[in-house]
Amino acid sequence: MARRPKRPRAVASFSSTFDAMAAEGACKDAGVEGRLIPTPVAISAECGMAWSMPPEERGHFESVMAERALRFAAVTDLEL
Amino acid sequence: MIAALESFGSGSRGYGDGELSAARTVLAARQSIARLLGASDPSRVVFSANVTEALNLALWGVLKPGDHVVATAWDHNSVLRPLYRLERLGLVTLDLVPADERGRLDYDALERLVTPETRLVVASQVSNLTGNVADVARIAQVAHGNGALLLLDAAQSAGAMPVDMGALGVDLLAFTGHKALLGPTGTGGLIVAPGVDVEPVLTGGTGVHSYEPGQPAEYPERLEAGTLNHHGIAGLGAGVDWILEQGVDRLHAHDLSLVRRFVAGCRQVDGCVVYGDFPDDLGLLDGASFDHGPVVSINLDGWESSELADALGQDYDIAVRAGAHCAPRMHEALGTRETGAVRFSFGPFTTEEDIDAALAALAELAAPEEA
Repeated sequence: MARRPKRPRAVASFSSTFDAMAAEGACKDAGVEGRLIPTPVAISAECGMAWSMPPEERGHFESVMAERALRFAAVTDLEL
Repeated sequence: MIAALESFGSGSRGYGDGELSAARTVLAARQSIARLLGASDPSRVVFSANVTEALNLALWGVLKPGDHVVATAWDHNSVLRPLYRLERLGLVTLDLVPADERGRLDYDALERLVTPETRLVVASQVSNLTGNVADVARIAQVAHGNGALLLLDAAQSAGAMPVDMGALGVDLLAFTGHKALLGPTGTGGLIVAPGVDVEPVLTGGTGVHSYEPGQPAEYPERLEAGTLNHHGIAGLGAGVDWILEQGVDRLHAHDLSLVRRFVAGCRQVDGCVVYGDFPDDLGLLDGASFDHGPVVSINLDGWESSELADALGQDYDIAVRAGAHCAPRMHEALGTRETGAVRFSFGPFTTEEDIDAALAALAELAAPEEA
């Protein structure tokens, strides 16, 4: 299978697996588009899992995290 | 749990469906346990192999050289033996709150023994021998009034009765999965209240902060080195969800009605001794005036406890536990060190008919044999 073309993504990283899984649950519940991926090496990986989303979802993601008092380390723009 | 056995990968160590399903299930179990036990932050629900491991994590992770600890005669060997070892190594000094011949804790002694030098107070919420319930709020008040932390052994209470660690002022709560939480053996955990830190006893892989030489500061990974028992935790989470659906108040009321029925029946059996603190009027055993956990221990005149347990098992298909119950101090208080006792345990699936069958068996076994 051919390598997938790269596209811009906003990638949220976490300090713990608990935080990553809690974020996934909240994002699915609130309709934040994206999915969990192995944390890209470009990010100083703290947790092995990261939430990858279209860049336009960044604000939605951050507001959902704030509303539900969930933790994330950073959101980084990457080509993945 | 069967679905978990057939589908789970290693949660937090991979990204496929199986691994993510495992991680999601573990998260859900933490959230359910936090909800059931009144923990405000589910990330501080740390899983372990059993309550003994959880208690060891707390004791070895909190206590520092020179600390003073107060535990009680109710405590199980899972508390006593780590403390004896810490004492033997010269790391801590230990005092034990005594119990009387009915198993009642001496709260005056507690107030005398806990001082500003005390780092930790350890208490069992429910005696695993008598089923009596400790006044945890009072113990927490004494501990906190002296600047000490409270570690609660909730092995017998979690899932069997309402437990709210936040309201009770519990700093560390250890639970087992395989009793009233209805999970499989090999599951348990420690809940660490916000603001309390426990030094890791086990160190190793966590799936996070891999380039740091030490354990992460974040909970639960801080205390969860190594791969979790995801399949067991799936079973534990299912058990806890069932309890939440049923309502722990309702389950506790069911247990109390069985305890009342059983103790009332035992009082009618010649030579049957019921251990622990019960009101004369068993109607007071309603959870408010007088509370009780889902275990009752007895002896029957003329029977060794092991012999009685064997007869109940072999001849009546009634499963009980005989012997010392890993509760040496409590047996000494009750005067049953030499005889042991026979413990009956009740749960949501125990019926009044089961109680009556047990009472009928005891009555039969108590009757003098015909010449």
